[in-house]
Amino acid sequence: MSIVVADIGATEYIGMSGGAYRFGLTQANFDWLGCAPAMIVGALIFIPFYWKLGIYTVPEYLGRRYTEAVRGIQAVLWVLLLACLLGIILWASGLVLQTLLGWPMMVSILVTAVIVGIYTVSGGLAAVVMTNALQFVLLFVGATSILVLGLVEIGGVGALADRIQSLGPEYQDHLKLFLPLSTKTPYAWPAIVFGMMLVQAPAYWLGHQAIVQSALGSRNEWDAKAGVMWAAFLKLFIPILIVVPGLIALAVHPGLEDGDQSLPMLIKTILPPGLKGLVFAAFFAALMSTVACYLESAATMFTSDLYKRFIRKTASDQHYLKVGRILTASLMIWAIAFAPISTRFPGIFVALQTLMSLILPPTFAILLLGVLWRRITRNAGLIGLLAGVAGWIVMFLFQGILFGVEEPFLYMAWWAFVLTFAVTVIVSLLSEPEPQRSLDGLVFEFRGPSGAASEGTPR
Amino acid sequence: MSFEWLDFVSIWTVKLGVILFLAAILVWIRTLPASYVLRDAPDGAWWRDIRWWALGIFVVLGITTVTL
Repeated sequence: MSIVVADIGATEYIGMSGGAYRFGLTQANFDWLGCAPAMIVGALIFIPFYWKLGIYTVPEYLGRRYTEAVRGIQAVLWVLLLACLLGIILWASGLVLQTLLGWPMMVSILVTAVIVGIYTVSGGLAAVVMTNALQFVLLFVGATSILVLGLVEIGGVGALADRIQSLGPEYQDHLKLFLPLSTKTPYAWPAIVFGMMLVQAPAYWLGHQAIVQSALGSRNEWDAKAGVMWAAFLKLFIPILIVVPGLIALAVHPGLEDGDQSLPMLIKTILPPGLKGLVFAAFFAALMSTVACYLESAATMFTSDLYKRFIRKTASDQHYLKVGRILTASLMIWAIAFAPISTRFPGIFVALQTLMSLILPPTFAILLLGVLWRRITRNAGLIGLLAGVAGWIVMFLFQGILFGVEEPFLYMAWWAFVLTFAVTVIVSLLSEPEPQRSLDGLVFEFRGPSGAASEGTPR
Repeated sequence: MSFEWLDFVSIWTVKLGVILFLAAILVWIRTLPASYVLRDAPDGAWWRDIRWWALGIFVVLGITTVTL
């Protein structure tokens, strides 16, 4: 359950339903084809591997398998990513307040930023984390109520399909899982199969810190594997709760200015008064807790992985605390300025995925090679990672020329992965192999049934 | 019209490819020794073997892929 809680926040609810409003049922692929195969392979290879190695974070493994520079680059990239994601989440919070209360966007963003800034600096994060499970339950109740009440208002699933089809010819593919090459959405089938199913989703489920950490918090190895499997099972139902409401919003409120307003609009128009207030409070609290968590993660990562190791190695705890607080305040100001960039993307989900495609696919390529192949050398991982990130930046800058589609983030994810993979392999094959003993324990070796005794043992 | 026909064929080819991909993972999972996937091996109840969980998940996913 904690794995699903780590994955599904208020931003995902708003972004996924907004994606369904704009692009249709194909949005569900991120939960169905994206999650289940990646999570099952992850449960059976990566989770036991991380477990036996005794590591808790992916950058920690990459630092041991490759070089400390790889770990440092990962920390820089993650701090930058979190800073940008903060802006997008602030935008989502602003959207909720704007839709439900009618406040102007910038006022909504500033109010959120000030409230979150105050309770993060005053140490309120622990309380927020403790209420995460409660927020999840309330969001779940809210989404279920919206689904049921929405379907009742429309007259059932058949009536929903009829109303969407009647909106016009551009909605004819809105209820299909796979879209043709000619689609105007970013989700043509090659993007879904190659970019999402084979790269972006496995990269997210096997390399995203919050997800990996939730799985590794289990009591023993079997529980960790089974926990990921169970999360994969739960994920099968998530699209029904968050993608279908996007379709309901399209049928009930066609022509919304911003598709991401679909869920807040349904909260406003479909839920009864008492539940409306409760779900609004849960959504807003969940958004703010995500902002607080991201701020905390970025500050911790910056101080412990960068500042402490590369800038000032010895200083008092007070000094590091002060550095963390200055960074928190700076990130908040940056996030307020970055938030309007979200309008450059068709929805916050596309914005989140585009930014994540900078880090996750190159990381996934070196993670996969590092875990599965002894011949990969330490410096090759560093060069491959840099090549992948540089390649992504070039693709992002020249996407209009390189790709014939709008928002080609899934194609960029695929090619960043391929580039990193190819460069890492070529550099490794051109270099001297690493001494084999130095890689003992750092490369996955499936040794058959010898793990029987360790299945129930804590790490 | 010819493009619509091509789209139909390509999308069903993709669906078939996805099903084969899921089946390949299931075949690989069957090769794993029970001690690796079964709690309290070898005498645990069948539901403690997480390969059955994977099978259930993939069956649901396969049906979804074909029908939608």
